[in-house]
Amino acid sequence: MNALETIERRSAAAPTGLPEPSKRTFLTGRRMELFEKFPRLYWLVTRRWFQFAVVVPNLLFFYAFLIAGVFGSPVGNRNIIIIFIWILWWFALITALVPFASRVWCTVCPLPFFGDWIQRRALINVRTGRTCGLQNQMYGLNKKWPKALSNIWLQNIAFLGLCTFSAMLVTRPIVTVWVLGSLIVLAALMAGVFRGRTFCNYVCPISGFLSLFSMTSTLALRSKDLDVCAKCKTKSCSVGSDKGWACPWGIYMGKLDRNNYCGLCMECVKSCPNDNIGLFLRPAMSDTRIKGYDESWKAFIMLTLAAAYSIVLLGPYGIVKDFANVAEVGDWKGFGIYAGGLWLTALAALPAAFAACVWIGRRLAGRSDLGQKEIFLGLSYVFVPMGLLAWIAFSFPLIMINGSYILNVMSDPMGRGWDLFRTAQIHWSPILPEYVGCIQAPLLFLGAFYAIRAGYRFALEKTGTPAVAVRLAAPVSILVTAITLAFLKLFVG
Amino acid sequence: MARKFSDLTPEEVLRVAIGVEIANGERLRTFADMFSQQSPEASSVFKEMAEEEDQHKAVLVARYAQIYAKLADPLPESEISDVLEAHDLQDAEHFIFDDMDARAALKAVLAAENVAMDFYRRAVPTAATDELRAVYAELADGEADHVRRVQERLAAQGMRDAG
Ligand code: SF4
Ligand code: SF4
Ligand code: SF4
Repeated sequence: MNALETIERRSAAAPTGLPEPSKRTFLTGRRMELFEKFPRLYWLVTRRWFQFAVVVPNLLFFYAFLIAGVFGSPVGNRNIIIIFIWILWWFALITALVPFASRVWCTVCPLPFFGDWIQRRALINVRTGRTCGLQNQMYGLNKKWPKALSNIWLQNIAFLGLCTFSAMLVTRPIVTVWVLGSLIVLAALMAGVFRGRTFCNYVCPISGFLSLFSMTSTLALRSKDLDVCAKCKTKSCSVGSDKGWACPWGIYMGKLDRNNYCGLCMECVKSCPNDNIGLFLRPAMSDTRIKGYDESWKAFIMLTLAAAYSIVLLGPYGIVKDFANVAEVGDWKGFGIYAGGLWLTALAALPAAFAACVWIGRRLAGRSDLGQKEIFLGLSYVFVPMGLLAWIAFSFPLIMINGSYILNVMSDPMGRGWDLFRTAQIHWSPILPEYVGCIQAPLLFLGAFYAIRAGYRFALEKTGTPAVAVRLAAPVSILVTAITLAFLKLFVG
Repeated sequence: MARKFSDLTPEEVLRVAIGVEIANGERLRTFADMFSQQSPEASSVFKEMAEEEDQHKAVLVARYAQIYAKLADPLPESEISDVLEAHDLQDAEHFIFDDMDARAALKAVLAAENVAMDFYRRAVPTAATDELRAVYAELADGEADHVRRVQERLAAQGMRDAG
């Protein structure tokens, strides 16, 4: 239900003496507003220096990592850029930040730092003025991004491309330097030409999966009362004010009902004149609406990659490892087979299997009046919780097996024989490897549970009858179960 | 504390209706400004609609004067908890400016006018007095007229787009 429908219902109901209207938000069920609960948090995020203060330390680390990548050891597990980014950062991001704090990584991300400066020519203060309908003075060309590319297809392809070469990326520091360095330069160049965070919205390869998996998060920034937004005469959250920059992601809070494209920069919290934006704690997996095929395919890609990485890095299939690791092994033909299989599965085979399940479900339910596209998009959400939990299950052994390298590189970040904190010589020792399966199996089951539940709920919403809903969602639920069992076989044996 | 619409007297209902027209004019001018460079055609639709709201307000002020002789201040919509009529943006994500064109602007206006018409229509049978019922009905008719006019514009715009 969109905001307008909600408003219509409320407005229409009011004169008939229905219960006193309470504040309406897009959040349903239990929730806690954190700014009210923790006023210091509100104070903190409304300081003008807030984002600068959280980004700059991260930027310094990032810069140090790049230096280590260029001048440090070319051996991956002896260089901090590899261990901290591809093991520690990835693990923290996928197991904690995204599920519990949505896109909070984007709050502290250093990649758009220079781009933001190019557009604002200010690090802390906000500039008032007029630029393309915004109430802030902005610099740069402020061009519109082409409509045909205003989706996440580019991100899908860029991410799949990067991940295809991940064996190089996660073992060779200089490759990581090139990739991250290019992203920071591209973000800055794009900020000079296009308005706001066009790079983040449409190009950043990290953004695609952050947007998809942030739907599952227990944290959400939302309008506290949609009626206040409807009546608001300034829409300062979108256009900015003397207190805050216009939303760099081009969001309107009064209609925002999911996390996907909010970078949690907190500018809207500062600029809203009605103090109408809240940071809510809510049940996991609350946003369930997939809006387009680009988002569905992101879900297919993420699930396929979780499977591919699990096979390559954790599975017993040496030949697949060799195929993927083209940089070391040099088997380009094998790599072609691996890459082709990966792309084919992510972009065609899994979507085709899913589409077939949707089609069969519609037939079983006797509801061919429900459009294939509508049901395809709605049910494709099942791969969001499932994909996230599969990625978490994959990431645990990564940190449990390689965790001791973190201590090593903290003392010797460049692999040059330093021993800053006396941890450089700690021998490699996996952390409780015998328990890996005990962690992975429940995570996979949890993913399947959330997926099947979401599929059923969507089907019920569409059909209104439990028995019909079960039939509509059944083939997709079977697919989810089969994939979960395949993961289980891979992880636990 | 904002009051409920259903608690207002007939005189207050008219005053708040005037207040809502004023607020809508301001909102539509904000939109006209917001989209002035990204979509000049949407901007001019919003400008025209803001002028229409000014005219609606003038009609209501005249009606008020006719019934109550002396014009009191409008009652600001912020003093009422209900949303009677609020022109709003429909888009939330990915640069909300991108999908705004003349058609989308008219649809946004139409949505708000429909809400208002529906609101007053449903209020009619709930009115405690005949006088209040008459005011509600008059407001509902006024909004129905606005709906019809915006629909006509939308149809004309559709033909223009298709042509
Ligand atoms: S979208 Fe990408 S570049 Fe932008 S803030 Fe998020 S991670 Fe950083
Ligand atoms: S500025 Fe505040 S009240 Fe106005 S639309 Fe934005 S969030 Fe809502
Ligand atoms: S909605 Fe608010 S917090 Fe989210 S990106 Fe826009 S300004 Fe930042």
